[in-house]
Amino acid sequence: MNPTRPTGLAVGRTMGIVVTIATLVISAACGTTPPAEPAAEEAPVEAAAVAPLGDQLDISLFRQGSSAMTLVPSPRELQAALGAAGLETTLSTLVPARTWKPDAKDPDRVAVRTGVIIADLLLTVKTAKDEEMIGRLASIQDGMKTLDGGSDIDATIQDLMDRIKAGAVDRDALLSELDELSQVAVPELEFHGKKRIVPLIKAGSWLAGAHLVAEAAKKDDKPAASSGILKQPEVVSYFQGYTKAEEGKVSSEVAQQLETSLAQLETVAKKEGPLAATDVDTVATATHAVMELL
Amino acid sequence: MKHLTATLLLAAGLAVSAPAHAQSDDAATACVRAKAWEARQQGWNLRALDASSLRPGELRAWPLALAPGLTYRILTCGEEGITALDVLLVDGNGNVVARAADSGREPTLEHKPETPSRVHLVVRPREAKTGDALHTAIAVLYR
Repeated sequence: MNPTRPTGLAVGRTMGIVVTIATLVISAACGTTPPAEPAAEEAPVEAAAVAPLGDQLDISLFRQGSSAMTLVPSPRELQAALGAAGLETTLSTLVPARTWKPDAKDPDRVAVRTGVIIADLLLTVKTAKDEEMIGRLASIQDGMKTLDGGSDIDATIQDLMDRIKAGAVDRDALLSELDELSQVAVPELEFHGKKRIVPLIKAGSWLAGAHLVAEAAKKDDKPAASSGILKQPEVVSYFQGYTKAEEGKVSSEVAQQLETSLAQLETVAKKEGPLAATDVDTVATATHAVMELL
Repeated sequence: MKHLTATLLLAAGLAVSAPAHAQSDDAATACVRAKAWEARQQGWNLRALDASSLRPGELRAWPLALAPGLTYRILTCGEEGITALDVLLVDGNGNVVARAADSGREPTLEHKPETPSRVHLVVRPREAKTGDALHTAIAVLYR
């Protein structure tokens, strides 16, 4: 157990303080505290205002934010959408025991694999045994090391593992932390300027989630109900932009299969009308083909 | 990693350390993070959290693929110099499909799409006490 971390009991005792301080942080940050007196020597500022936006905008003028940060639904979001669509099977029950290729130095393979493990971890955080979660976190940590993710993410994952081992974190809190790890922290990583790494990690997570959604739709025999979740041409298109290496070549075995599978998913995503059983089979097969190479 | 650090400190109950580390966020990010944390206690889940620095009238757009059946909540905070912030969802043809009704520098927007859709989340400071670039932060949540 990490001696600098509080135990679960200590966490409970400090919750009142946490709430108080969090409230102070919220109040200070959100401006609900009384305004301070302006400094006497403060220079005058010129106010600025523009007209309200209309109901039609020229999207070519948009300054784009990060697609990696916002575009792609998380695996847990796919699970939530599945429930909203009336499918009863939960994705966590379909997460398989996975075996990985021993040669784990190809960055494409490691990135996509790490994304798959992140998806597995997120989907099973409420049900997995501690040792399963620690095993997945260790695999993610290894992947991040291989990809040069940096010392911060390494220390963060180690800290999570230490706290799980010590029984010092409950699953709800852990879920929130893992959500932020996968949805905010990982997309912020720079991987020494290798721009494909974050999209490939996200691709792994999304493909793993899409595969499980397809399997759930097959199990429940409700292919049409999965249409709104699996028909995401913009997401597929985003990943297609990263199958090629920086020099414009599809260099790795994983990237080649990714390109093939994404082309199949693109066809399904652009299909008119609800998905049929054969479409869901295509999704399951195309996504499985990538994961088989990991 | 600054985003992660602040949240982990709160989640782990390291109350004494939280304010000092949270200062690594700008005020707008700290504000939206606190709102997101509060929303997560109410059953919302996090899709994304990001920040930008914008002058009055300058747009920033984040692409979002949305799933039908889920409700999305967009939380925003502008730093203190911003007095009104526009927050909209715009479809691929430039049509505004949703707009935050509340004015001020912390508007919230909720949207429940009926079909799978790709939209842009657009944020723009409309009024500010200065013409300088100021921080704005967004959080996208769903349930």
